[in-house]
Amino acid sequence: MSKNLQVTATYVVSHLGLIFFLYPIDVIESTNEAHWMPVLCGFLFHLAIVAVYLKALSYFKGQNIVNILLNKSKFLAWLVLLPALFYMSWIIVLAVRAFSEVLSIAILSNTPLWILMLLFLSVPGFMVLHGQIGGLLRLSVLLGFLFVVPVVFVMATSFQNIDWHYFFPLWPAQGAFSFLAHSAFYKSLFAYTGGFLLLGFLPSYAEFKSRAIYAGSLILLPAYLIAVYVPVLTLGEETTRQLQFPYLFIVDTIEINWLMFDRINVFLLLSLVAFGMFFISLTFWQILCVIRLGMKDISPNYLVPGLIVVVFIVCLCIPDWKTTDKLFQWNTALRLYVAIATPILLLITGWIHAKKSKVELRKT
Amino acid sequence: MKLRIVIGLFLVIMLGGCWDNKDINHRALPIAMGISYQQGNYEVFLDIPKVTEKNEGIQIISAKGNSISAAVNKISMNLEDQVDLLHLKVLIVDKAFATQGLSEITASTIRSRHISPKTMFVICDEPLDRFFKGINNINNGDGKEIYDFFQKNSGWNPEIAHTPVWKVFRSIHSYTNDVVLPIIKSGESTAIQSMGSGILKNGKMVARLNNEQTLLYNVYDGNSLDGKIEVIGKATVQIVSSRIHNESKFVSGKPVLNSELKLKVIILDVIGNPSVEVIKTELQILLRRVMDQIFRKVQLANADIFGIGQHYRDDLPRMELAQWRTKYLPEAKINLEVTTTIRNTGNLKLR
Repeated sequence: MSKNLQVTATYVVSHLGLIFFLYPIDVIESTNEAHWMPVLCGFLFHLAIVAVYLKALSYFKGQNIVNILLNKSKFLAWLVLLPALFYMSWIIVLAVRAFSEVLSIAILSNTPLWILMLLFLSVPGFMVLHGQIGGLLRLSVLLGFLFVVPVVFVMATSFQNIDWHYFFPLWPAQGAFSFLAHSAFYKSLFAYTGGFLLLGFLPSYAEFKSRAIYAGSLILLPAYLIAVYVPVLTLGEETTRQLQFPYLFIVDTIEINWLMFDRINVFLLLSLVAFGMFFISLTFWQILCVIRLGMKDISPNYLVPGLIVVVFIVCLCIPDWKTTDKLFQWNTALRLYVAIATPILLLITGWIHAKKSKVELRKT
Repeated sequence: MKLRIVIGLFLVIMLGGCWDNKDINHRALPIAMGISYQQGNYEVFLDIPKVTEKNEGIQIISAKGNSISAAVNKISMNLEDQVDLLHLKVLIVDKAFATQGLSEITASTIRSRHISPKTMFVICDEPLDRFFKGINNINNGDGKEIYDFFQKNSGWNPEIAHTPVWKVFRSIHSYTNDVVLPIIKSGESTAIQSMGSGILKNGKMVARLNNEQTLLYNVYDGNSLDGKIEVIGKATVQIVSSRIHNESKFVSGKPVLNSELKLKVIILDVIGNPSVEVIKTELQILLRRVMDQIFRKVQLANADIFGIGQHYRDDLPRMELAQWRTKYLPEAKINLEVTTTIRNTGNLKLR
């Protein structure tokens, strides 16, 4: 049975959690005007790697990336999987640390950080242990139903104070592509590369058409644009630059007389926290996949708590927001390697595989 | 059974989340905060509604400190409740402080997140201690007038400027956007009296508008519901809708803005026996005169409260736009055209 809806929902929900916190300020820092260019460039990059990845996977029906690579060559497998494993663990640490810091800044200023971090680890850990991938896929649909309404409501109302004049100039007078030389742009790619690896792990558990993913990306594009453009259109570029989380600030400025809630930020934040937890649990599951299929089949009952403890200790070692930011920056090179090398190496493997099977077919 | 124990344990652990919770009856929730600044010292006034059975009156508390948060802390220390600025609605500063510059207090407001960026910014025309004594008068009402005065669904009028903290923050950093803040003082027969508004440039008050000018500023800004204009000696009209159309261009290196203001009004009051045409032309002349006054004031102060520079974002490169206020705005030529439609004359006919 095909699970297109579940896969689309998983893809959209796991990305939505990453877009509204750090992504806007990275894009805004990367260029002074015409912010749609870095957004669109990043999005095209995302589409390109997803397309290559899906094409490569289509050569092997119903197999996941770990099985494919290990069947071909051990060396190639670890050339791809080891960086990916390292990258995913790094991402979990950063996501847990960043989400709990955001929560602490935004609403829970009195709660100790370690409790928030433990929450961000134990809930996703429980989700993975209890639900496995089938449960997570179904959960994505539930999360979609529960939280899409408040998120869309907040997104729609955040247009309240915009001034379209800030949209201009559409094309910068000089240095249109200077953002490509800015490190913040590569940092912003985080929101595009965070969740795409998952697609390679799914085929042996859930059947889906690549059309489902492209449809999902069409839902994501407006979200990327809104996260960057609503702050810029409301405050202007120079003012937005001063803020740590521009989109959250804009949501704070919305005034709705008839609503009994004064700060509708809470709706957005809680939805995004749920999405963030979902993203973390998916990444946990991918790590489990790599370890259990590629190294040793350890029971998840031991593996998940072990992982949680390790990540928690690493998170505790990060003292402040500046270090977190630096770790994001250092992560860039690895991220680009994983995002570019994984799909391409897989595609080459697929090509060779397809050619070989054609030759064999002709022989018989 | 096992599951029940697990659920029970889970609930017990979750209870620990309330370990530092302070109940609502132990919090003081001010609705207005006054700040005055004298020689490196801030004096903070908090206006806290009394929570009693009758719900009447307010409590005014003040303290001095090196910074605003130090002063608030001092109040919190001496008060039996914890001060929580979460529901603050109005921020009042005195005139001297506003002329000196509000950029620091705006920045600290935005940074701390304790105060909502939707809080109204207001300038007070008299010393703050006298102002707070004035509004604390029991005869004036239940003590929440200062809050209702600026609420669009209660006491706000189009003659009063309406500027939240985040707009002031934007004006401090933006190249092309300045703001006006309402100026008030304690009134004689009412609790509060509007004294027009102050033009803020980069967070500093540089000029003033009177009530009539503020109304027209609001009209031009598209913010004028039900504003009433008096055409002296002829009639009083009420604005029912306004539309602005702007056309920006550069003529020999100087910005020229052709602005067309379309107003629909209804007649409330007529003095003597003027014709509709007379009222119309008089109204147009009046509007143009007042708007020209404001434009001249704006150009003299180099403060772009109308966001005129916004229309030139496409024509000027960023480096030039950064000098918009000093280099281009004083040279700008604004041609205002006013067309008014008198939609109806009320229940009585007019010649």
